[in-house]
Amino acid sequence: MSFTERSTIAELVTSLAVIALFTWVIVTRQAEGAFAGPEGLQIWARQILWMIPVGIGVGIGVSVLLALAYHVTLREAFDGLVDERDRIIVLFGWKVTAITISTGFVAALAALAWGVTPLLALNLMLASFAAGDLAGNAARLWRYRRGY
Amino acid sequence: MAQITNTIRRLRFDAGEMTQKDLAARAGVTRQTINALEAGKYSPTLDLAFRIARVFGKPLEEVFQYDE
Repeated sequence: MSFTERSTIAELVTSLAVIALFTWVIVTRQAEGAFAGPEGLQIWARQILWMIPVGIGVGIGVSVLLALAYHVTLREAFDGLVDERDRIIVLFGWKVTAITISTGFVAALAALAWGVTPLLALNLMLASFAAGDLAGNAARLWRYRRGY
Repeated sequence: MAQITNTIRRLRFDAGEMTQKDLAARAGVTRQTINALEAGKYSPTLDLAFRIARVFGKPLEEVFQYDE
């Protein structure tokens, strides 16, 4: 398994952890009624703004832990080599991510036009970012598994 | 449909059973890329094709063939 393939698995696991954390926080705060009222959207935005660096921090932490676990288990260091095949696969992953996010964005706009609340539309957009990240990593992993 | 085939496996054998790992290191790619090339799952860029041919000291067309 190449460095970038292992990184893709680490990113997929990290994304799942961060998305679970985001979902838990948003659902809990929503149930508490934190986003209700005229200032609900501002409170939602502030909530997401502090969660982004937390998500990045968790991502870095999980990646480092997985890299260490791999090194300790298989006694093999990350060589960091990224070649042309890796770059093509990564680009394919980005394409899948972009398509998923764009589709989610349009779906959120359509939902808003159909009369859902702005908060739900914003949550749909956030969910499309999460789905795009997962779909991109899954697409990369699929390409690696089949060889190209 | 045109297809790019290669003789990397035979050339490795001729070069004293050079491993995929050795070839990968000398061509500057991962072992998985060499494996994908040998399996016919991946066609290299011209740059990589020349680098692999240079490792074996062969002209490009002896390593890669364009089958129509």
